[in-house]
Amino acid sequence: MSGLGQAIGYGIVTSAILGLSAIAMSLQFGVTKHANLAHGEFLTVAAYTLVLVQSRTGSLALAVVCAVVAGAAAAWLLNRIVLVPFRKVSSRLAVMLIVTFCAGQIVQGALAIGFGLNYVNVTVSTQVAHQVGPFLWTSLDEIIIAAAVVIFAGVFAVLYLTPFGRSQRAVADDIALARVKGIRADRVLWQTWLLVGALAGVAGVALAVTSGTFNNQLGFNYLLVTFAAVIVGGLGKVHGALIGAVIIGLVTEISGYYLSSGYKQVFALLLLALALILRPSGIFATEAAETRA
Amino acid sequence: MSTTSAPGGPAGPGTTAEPVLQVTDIRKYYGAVHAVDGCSMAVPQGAIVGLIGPNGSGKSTFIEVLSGLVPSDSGRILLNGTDITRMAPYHRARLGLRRTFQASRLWMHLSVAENLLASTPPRGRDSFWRTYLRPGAVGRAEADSSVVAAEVLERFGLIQMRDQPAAVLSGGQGRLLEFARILVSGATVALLDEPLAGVNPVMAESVISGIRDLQRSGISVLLVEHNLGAVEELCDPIYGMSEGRIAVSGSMREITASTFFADAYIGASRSAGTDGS
Amino acid sequence: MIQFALTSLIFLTFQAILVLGLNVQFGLTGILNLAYIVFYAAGAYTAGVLTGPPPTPPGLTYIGGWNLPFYVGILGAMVVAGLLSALVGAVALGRRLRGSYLAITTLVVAVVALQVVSQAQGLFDGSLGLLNVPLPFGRGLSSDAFAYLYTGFMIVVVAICFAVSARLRRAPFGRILRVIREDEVAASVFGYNIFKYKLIAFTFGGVLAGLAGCLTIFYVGSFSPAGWGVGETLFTLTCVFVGGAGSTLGVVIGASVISLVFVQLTTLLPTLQSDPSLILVARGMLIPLLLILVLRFRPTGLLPERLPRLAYRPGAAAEAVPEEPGEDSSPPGGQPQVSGGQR
Repeated sequence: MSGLGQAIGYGIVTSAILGLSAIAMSLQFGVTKHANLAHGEFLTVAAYTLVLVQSRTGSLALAVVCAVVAGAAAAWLLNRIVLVPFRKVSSRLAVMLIVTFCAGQIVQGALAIGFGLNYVNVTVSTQVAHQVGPFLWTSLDEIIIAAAVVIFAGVFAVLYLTPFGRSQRAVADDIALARVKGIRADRVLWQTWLLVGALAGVAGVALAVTSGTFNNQLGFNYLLVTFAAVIVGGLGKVHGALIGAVIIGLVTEISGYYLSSGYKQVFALLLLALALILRPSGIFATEAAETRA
Repeated sequence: MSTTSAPGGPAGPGTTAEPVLQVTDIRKYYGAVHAVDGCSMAVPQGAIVGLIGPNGSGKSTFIEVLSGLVPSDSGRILLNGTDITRMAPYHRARLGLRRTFQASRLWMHLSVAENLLASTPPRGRDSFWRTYLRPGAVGRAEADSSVVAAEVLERFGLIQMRDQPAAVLSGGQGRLLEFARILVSGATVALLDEPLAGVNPVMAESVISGIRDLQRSGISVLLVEHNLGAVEELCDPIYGMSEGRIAVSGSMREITASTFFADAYIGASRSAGTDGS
Repeated sequence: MIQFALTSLIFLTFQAILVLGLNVQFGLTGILNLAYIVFYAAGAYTAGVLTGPPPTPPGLTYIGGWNLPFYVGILGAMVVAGLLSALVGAVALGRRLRGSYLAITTLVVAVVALQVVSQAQGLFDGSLGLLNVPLPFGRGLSSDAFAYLYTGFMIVVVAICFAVSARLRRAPFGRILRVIREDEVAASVFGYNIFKYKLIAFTFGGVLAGLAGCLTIFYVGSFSPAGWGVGETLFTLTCVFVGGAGSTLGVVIGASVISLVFVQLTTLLPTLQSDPSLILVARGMLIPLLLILVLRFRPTGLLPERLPRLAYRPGAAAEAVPEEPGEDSSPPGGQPQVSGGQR
């Protein structure tokens, strides 16, 4: 039925954006072993950069590039300014969680001071939805889906075909062992953060243009659904994050179609709650991961 | 009586009493990896049983399974006759099982004395309601524990540091504190996971005599160690583990003569001062 | 002027009770509860709908409104907050939900609770919140007299909460909580059912939060979602660290210092900035910044947790030990007690 087809179509777009954010978080958790409660702010920073550059230069393409760079820079800065000093002083997990949370709150406040508390609009040429098989997509939706697919492929290529990817996976597996093998773990860390921020930046851009308007809570609101995708798929497993994003994206849109669209986020969080209760390490769990978390 | 699953000669002191710890055919697989592949052993009452084997032989996983931190895939564990195979770690501990870890797991920001006080049998001190409704009884139980704690601290030479955070202890002192905790806890069985690792030769003597203290107090010990000299000094019987299975058991002489030993320890020094690599 | 001082003091007492509860959860037991303020809200709303007048739709809609006496409100608030804590704790603290998972779970609870209450108009009047909650102690008092009375009342309440918390910390139960904080795996292999203790600590903290909430709504007369975002939990957490995580007196001092500083800050900032909403944002940035700095440079806080001293009489146990000069020894003849110099 066409309504369901449309819902699935939206679900695919949602999954694409969520997949970007979730893969980023999964890469980050894999190497740091703690959640980054400021993850959403990478998206928000990118979104505001998009608006800023576009309003100054008029070029959407340039704005997108700047936004992604801004996301990467934000992630790199978080690591350099906040996390590195703390890793030296304290390895206590609670401290790292609190500190990332604080950093996120500070960035939210700074963005509010810089751009005001009101919603900001993104200027995109008016979009017309057209039928693509059972799905109803605008060209923006199609660009996002295509870009996401290319990026996912790129990320997996980097992870499994490049030296950096191999080092990253070694560090995620066992950082001490990786160091023993001669891998420069600290370098892998900040390079990973760059990648994480860039991916999150793309997600932020996509979120901003698809919703058309946002405020400094954009990323924070997306934090929980990103956690949902990552946990459902398995914390620290990159392919798991993607699968989790697809599950969450499709399930929320489909249930929103059948029940009520107002409850979409509730469904996402319900899935998260179920995943946390039943299988905290996600679908691709290993027992080693469970005892470590 | 003790059971072995492999050739190696007579095992154990031949006591007729029920072993305090009876392990039967424990298996633990991680996917294709057979970390523990059918291990059986018995710890007789009052004995110090040794468990040796090269790195990766599955000794640590075996201890994790015995203490309950990792569930076994199959097999049975009897503690003083009670089947603890599916019990949570805290439940096994309540029945008398204690363990140490490869890296000392002391409660670092608590004082040395508090580490002991938290290890003595609770006798009602651990109840939330009694804290408020029976302060007198709680206070008396606490006082009794304090006396026991002080005694044991003196015995182990740690009394000077009783009010210092446990973090200030050296590696060897930390091991002694771990033994002290086990001593005051009323345990019947102690699993010691490489207590001599990272301990200098001087302290090693104290650690070894600490293990003897445990035995003298009636605690049966399963000692996992790379330091073969210490194992030879303390343990009878000794089990050798390799690739998840008990390959050999008996006295040290019997083991060193076996192929297991030749395969596992070629080149390893046997002097008491070296811990195995 | 006096009114301002009393109001500041009263708000300080609210924060003191909050910080005592969070200290048990986090300072003693190590549970990072990012949803802490939700239980404060639970207490406030419960007290509000129990003691308040019937709702007046369509303007003011909420459940309850039974005009019950204020002590019923207090009791109800603590019970509801306690039950809610036990429920959340049972789910979040069980199984293997540790570390990052626990933080995420509590964050979810915080965000979802805020959204649900803000949007469910009929529950607690949505984003506008409860109004017209009656003052306790009857209505005959002038506002000055009420302020004095309430201040005295709050000081007594804080003293009681302090005594109860301090007793818990000094008792063997408190030591068990700290053991779980230090290394819960070691605690479990030493016979402690860590889930049970965490749940008790979590509920204890929740009850205190609920108490703080109900006493707040009684004084202010209104309560809305604006008063309980994640920023508020962060505020209390900062008080815990600034004062000294784990130390009962320390965290109260931390709450006092932070509360007083920020009250002053609010009066200063209007002269610096014209936009009042941005003042809130600035406050929202200063607290996390302060927390980061404290964690980096003085994580033990103003009054670090002190270790108790073992009651020990040298020579009492073994003759071989020589008498140490200057050692702490209990008076002769008395039953040895654990001397706790710990606040």
